[in-house]
Amino acid sequence: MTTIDEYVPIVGSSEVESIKQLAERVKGSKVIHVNATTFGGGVAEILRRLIPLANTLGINTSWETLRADLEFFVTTKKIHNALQGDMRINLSKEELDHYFKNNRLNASHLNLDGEVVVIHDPQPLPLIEYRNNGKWVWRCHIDTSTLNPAVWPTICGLVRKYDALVFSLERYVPKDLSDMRTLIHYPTIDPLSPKNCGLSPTEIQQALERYGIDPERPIITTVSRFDPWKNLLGTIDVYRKVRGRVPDAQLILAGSFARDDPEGTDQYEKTVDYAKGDRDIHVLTNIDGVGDKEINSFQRASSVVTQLSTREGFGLTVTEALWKGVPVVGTKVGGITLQVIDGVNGYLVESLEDAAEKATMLLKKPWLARELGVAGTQHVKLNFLITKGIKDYLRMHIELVGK
Amino acid sequence: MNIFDLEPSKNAIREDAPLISAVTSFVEGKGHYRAIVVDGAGKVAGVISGRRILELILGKRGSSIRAKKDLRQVFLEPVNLFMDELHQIFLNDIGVEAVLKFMAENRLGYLVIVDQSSVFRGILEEANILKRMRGRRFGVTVGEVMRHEVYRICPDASLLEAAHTMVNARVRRLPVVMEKVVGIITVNDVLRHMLAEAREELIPDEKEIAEILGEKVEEVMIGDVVCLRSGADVGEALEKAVDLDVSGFPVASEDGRLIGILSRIDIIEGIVRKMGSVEVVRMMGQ
Repeated sequence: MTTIDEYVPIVGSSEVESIKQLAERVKGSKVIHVNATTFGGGVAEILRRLIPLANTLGINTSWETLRADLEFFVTTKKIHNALQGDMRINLSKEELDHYFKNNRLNASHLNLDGEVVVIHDPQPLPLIEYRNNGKWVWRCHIDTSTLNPAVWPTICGLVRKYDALVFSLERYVPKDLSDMRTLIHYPTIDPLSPKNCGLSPTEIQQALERYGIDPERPIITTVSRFDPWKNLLGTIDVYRKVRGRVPDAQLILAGSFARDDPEGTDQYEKTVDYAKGDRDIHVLTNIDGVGDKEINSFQRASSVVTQLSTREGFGLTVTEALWKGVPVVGTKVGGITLQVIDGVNGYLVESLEDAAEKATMLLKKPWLARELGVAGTQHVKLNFLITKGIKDYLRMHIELVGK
Repeated sequence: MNIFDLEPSKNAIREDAPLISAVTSFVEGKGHYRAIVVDGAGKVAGVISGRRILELILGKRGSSIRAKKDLRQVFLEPVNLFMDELHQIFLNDIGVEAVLKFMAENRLGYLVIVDQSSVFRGILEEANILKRMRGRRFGVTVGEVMRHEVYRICPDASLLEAAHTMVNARVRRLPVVMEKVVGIITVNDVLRHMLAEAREELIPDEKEIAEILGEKVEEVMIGDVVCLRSGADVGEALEKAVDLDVSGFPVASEDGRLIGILSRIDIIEGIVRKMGSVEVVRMMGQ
């Protein structure tokens, strides 16, 4: 298990000391995190690293996940999309009943008896109705800057029952929650996790060869869920434009299927279908055995990473790529603009044509890609590593139950 | 031109300093709105703003500490319990154009400069940039870049109401409006008034604060407020922002009604969008 002292070589001893001092104030507190799934997506990834680390700091932290059927997750994905701005969505009474019923059933078997209970995203949101004690926090990882007015009032009614709210960016805080205790926690990545730790050239090469990817030819990579907001078809269009100018370029589209994302299969099939006939487009998932180490290898082997989402909560896959010294070509949405410093560690683009042009330039000028990559690593080191996330998290506990 | 030509300021406090030292730096003289928090080695640890102090006073933050200690004791707690993490830290070799684009794209009013060892070298704010853009007209009107959604307060409202409005709306100033704009009140004005009114000690106690927050906005607001016209060039607004060292202006119609608000970042964003960052940097270097 990773301990906080292992971060000293990366962030320095004073940062680690400061974390230990904050932890002293909440040592022994009992904290419970609840989310939809233990696998797939950014939330599970954050919790998988944060929870063991919090325990090593003396905070008694546990993790609960929902048990529910497909119908429940179809509804919660609709809620997710509605909160992220899909105005076409309406929820039927049956869907809402099922959403509440599943939460009620979960409340009866989940351990929710903590001094602090942190509920992640909309899936377990109604659990607040079954609180016994403790301070309850809703951690929203979604871009909620444009809410669907047909769905939001139901969700808002639940959210208002919480003691505190946490959003990823200030601009995501809905106006009708402005009177509530609201904290802003930027997402962060763990440089020591299997997904982000250093790999040897041999490990990287083996991972590529296992999936038929030529390590000698340039690689463009996008890592994301199979989700319409991620614009994977647009990414393939960009790749095809690039290949007109860099004929030996390859594209990796790597993602995973999460239990709480029933749209994933459909989007995956659409993506595979769109890529059909092109042997240099590699659409790979956890079903193919792609795990953290493989994603790490793909990102490290890439000349450029693209993230052409139309909506993006924060974009931790951008953070991961920058950390590995790979320049990112990204759209101007969500947290991407805070991470990609245009012309310094990557490029911000407004069109697919622009994205193709910038990606081509980076493939043709490896020296430029290297220069931007160095700046990317530095930017993440200064701003988006887990040690900052831990401090945010500890301050939240001090805020709620500190001694 | 490099980043230090913009003369970033150095307002910083130690993370183990008592919170009151941050408050003091916000209210003394013209006052800063935020302070960078550094550790014993001078490395950047976080940031604390006037709004956070106001949140603490209103009981919207620090609730568990406030439940155990009175406000005077809370103000003696170390700053690092209440500060925010920073996510806009840049190395000192960052170019001015990149900085401009980053601030305009994200509508962020400041960023922090460090050296290779993460030691604090300065805070670069909108004011530093605007100073280098003076003496020009940009062909962008105030009306094009102002914010139409404006939070406001009445002169006879209480300071408590004004403080809650500023905290909830996440703004640092409120135009004071009857039918027309009659003044402006800022987070720092409220904090300054609180400390000035403390009777015996530097830090007022809970009872004094309750009394102070019961006072009317008109007793604390700045009455001779400068209002802008929506048809004016942002260059005029820029001159006023620099000359008067203010962070934002109400925008009023001919008959004095409030129609918008213009902050320094609106000016920068509007100019960068109109001229492009390369041209703005060239102009700043002249």
